[in-house]
Amino acid sequence: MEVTRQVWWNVPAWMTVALYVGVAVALGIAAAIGWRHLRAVLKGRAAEPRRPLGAGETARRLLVEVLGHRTLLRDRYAGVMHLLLMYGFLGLFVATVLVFLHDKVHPFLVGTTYLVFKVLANLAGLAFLAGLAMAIARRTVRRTPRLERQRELEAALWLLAFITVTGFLVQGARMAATRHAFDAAGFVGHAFALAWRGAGLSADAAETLHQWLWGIHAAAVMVFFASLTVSGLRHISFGTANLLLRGAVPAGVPRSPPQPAVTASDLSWKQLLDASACVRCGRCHEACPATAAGKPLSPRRVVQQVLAQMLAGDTSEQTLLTRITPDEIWACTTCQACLEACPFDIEVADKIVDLRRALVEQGDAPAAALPVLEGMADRGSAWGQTPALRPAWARDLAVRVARPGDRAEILYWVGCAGAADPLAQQVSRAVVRCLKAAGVDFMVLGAAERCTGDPARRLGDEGLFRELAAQTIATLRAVRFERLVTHCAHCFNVFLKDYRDLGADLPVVHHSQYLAELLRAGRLRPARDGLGRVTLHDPCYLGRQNGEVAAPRAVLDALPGAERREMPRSGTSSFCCGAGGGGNWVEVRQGRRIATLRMAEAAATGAEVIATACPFCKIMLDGESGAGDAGSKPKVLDIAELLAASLDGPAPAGERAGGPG
Amino acid sequence: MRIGVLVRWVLDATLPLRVDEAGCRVVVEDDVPPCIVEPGDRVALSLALELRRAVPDGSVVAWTVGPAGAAAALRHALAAGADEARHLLAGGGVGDPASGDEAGPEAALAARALATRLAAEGTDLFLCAGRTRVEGASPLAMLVAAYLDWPALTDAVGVEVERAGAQRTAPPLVVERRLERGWRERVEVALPAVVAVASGAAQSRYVSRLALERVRGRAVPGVGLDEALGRSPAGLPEFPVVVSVTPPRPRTRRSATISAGASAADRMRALVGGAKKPASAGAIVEGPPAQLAERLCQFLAERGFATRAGGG
Repeated sequence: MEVTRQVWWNVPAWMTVALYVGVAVALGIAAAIGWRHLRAVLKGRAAEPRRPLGAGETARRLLVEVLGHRTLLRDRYAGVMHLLLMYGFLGLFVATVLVFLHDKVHPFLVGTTYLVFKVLANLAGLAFLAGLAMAIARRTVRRTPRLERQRELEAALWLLAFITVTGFLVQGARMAATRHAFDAAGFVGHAFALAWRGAGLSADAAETLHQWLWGIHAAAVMVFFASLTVSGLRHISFGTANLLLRGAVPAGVPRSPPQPAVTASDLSWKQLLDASACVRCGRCHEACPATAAGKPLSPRRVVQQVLAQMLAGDTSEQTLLTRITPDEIWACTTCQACLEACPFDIEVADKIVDLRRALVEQGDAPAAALPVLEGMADRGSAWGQTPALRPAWARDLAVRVARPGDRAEILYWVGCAGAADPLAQQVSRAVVRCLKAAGVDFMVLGAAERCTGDPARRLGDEGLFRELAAQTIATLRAVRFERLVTHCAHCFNVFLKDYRDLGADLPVVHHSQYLAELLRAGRLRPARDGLGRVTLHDPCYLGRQNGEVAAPRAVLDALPGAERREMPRSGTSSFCCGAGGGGNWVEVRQGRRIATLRMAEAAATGAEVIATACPFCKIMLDGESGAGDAGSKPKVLDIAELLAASLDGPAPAGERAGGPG
Repeated sequence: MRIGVLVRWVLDATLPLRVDEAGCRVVVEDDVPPCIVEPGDRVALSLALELRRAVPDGSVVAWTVGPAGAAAALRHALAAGADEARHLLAGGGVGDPASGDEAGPEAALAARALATRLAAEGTDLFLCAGRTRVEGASPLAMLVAAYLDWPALTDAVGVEVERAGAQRTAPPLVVERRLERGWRERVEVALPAVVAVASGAAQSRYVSRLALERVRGRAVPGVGLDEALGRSPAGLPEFPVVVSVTPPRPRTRRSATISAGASAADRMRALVGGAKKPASAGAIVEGPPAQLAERLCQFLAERGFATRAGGG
């Protein structure tokens, strides 16, 4: 007896034909549904900004995100569960393809090859079944809070479990009837065969049972194939595509649409693909600071509403603005915690910004946004400060103000907050003290500096952003510098990403990076001791959105006496302070303040000082430090203030006031 | 319903300003646009746009009086959603002060020109700010109403249009007015009418750059002030003429100076009450801070402004 597989053993011809026809019909149904969905996606506008889709980047994403489950494994249970599901499914799929090739092309599953194949196929089946059991358990027994009830997905899980079990039963029935010596290689089916034989099942009865089970198994497989592009199973195709195409349409840079988003086709195809990839796993919901603070926003709901609008079509009476409320739209801080948590790289903030544009265009900007937007429009400052007053923060510091054509090693970009807000002015003064102490050749723009336009863009006035950006680019081109240093994480991000799409490739560095560099080079020597316990709040626009988490820590670690403690949510998984996306000015009142939650988390580390690296974070967290039991709350200071205070020599009065102690 | 709304192009009084050496012009000492749409008029404009939504076949016409530069206010109104715009061209004042415009039209003249044109265009309701940032209380609404012989309502914090009933030919307007000491009244008035809007009547609308860009090329018809006045319809009241100005009658003050030996309470009373002891209400209490705080809390609790913790 040859050791091999009789592919159509005990399957009558009509069942073979029925299988082929049924599978063809089922795949046809899946393709039709998938095509309908894909057409709806392709009705979206061209995606912006676009980058060339590099093979290296795509391969990296495939390896790390798809095959490696990098993001999924942050939740160990869900990660392991999905690894078992994916690799189990792939194993079974490959096994089926190999059997097909063995049958139709060349009979290669013979001898040892067949035995190894059989063992591996059984292992894949078991892994898949274990993954399914874990998935069903966390929806029915464990009840993971972030998961919504999804009956279609639960039905799909039970269907897959049924298919896998019947697959093993078919195998067992065949083995019970044929009784080959090499059956043990298919160890799961063999166990069933032994059980049946032990129970007295005859070979004839096993043959009949096999035929019935084969038919049932095949029918279930057809149902599964037909539902491949429906609901949660859609992520197999659309989710993977979304993940791989992210390199072509980078996240974190709002696009410049020709018109505000009201219907689904006003969004880009990439935004619609995002919505199609969502499996409602709720990781975004769990990570969102606005959701955590009880604000009326759930990123998952926003994505699902976009999907609903897309499927309803443009003729629907509803629009995105009727499905998603203004409070949801204004509650977002654009911190991208949802994007960081999403295993499919689904971006929500870009849709929120598009919806804000729609609201702003129809004159429905919230009252709190008016002075900010008009301050930028009329005076070039989000704080409404006039240009003549802009250099006032440095009046006693003898800072060189650049004139057109001037040259310096460093152009220090102060930003609206650094020039206007008293708390942020302390940061500007501290940066100047550090630069002077290091003997850096630097200058500032003074009254010529205007807002970069970041708040305008993220609050929804794209035209104003473009106007301010053009003005800023022209101002920057009029002076010469080697590097542009800014202490504002938002200015840093907009220079680095948004301006790049406007043709300005600026040599921008964040002050944390530059100060760390000066410390490494020995140009700054912090000497004063006594900082004590300090925890770093990573600004979202620096850490998560630009990957810089090491530089601010390097500055803190260089301070004598600093005992650095980490918050549970830090680095790229930091929790927002609530200021991003205009949240500094526009705050939906429902729920708690996001900064309150962050302050509590920081205070729980036992730190005496919360270090920040963005004036917006400092303003938001400092606003919390006075509330409640003031004695137990830590001070909020920028890393530049801490560094300046630890330098040798007397500190100017303004910096002492902001210094620790 | 045809709603007219005034949008004045005024100097931004929050900018650092100075009067030039000749004492004729206001100079803005900064590199920013010196003029803005009067914030009170922006509230009126928002209210007009809200009313338009509430009535069938409503339309909003924005009006401004001033030099060519004032057309910016009309573009703002169009970008915000006004259907049409009308510019009554005057010699200056409410235009760009940096352009060397002369003083603006006197309020009565502007009101008369507006009244003439509003009547000619069949306006049902005219809205404008009752108080402006530069002038304070503005007489313009009352003057327009007087010239048109229309009812005028001031300090409006809410305006609604009641749906036309079977007996009514025109929908009456229901205006909520803010009175002194927090009182409010609702007034029903038939159209046409003039309403002077108070701050808080509506939320100002932000006009985005893209919206402004869309109306940049839109023509705004301009009519000279003289031409507007020349088309005065019959029946308008005559232009008021100042015939005399009388100085105030001298009044004897009860106390010319406050005695140096007076107590702090008496000095305060003299300062705020003209040395006359108030007939009723109001009292000045004295004592150590803790006692004063206790009295204040007691006062607030008695009048229901605050509750005392612990039922005390």
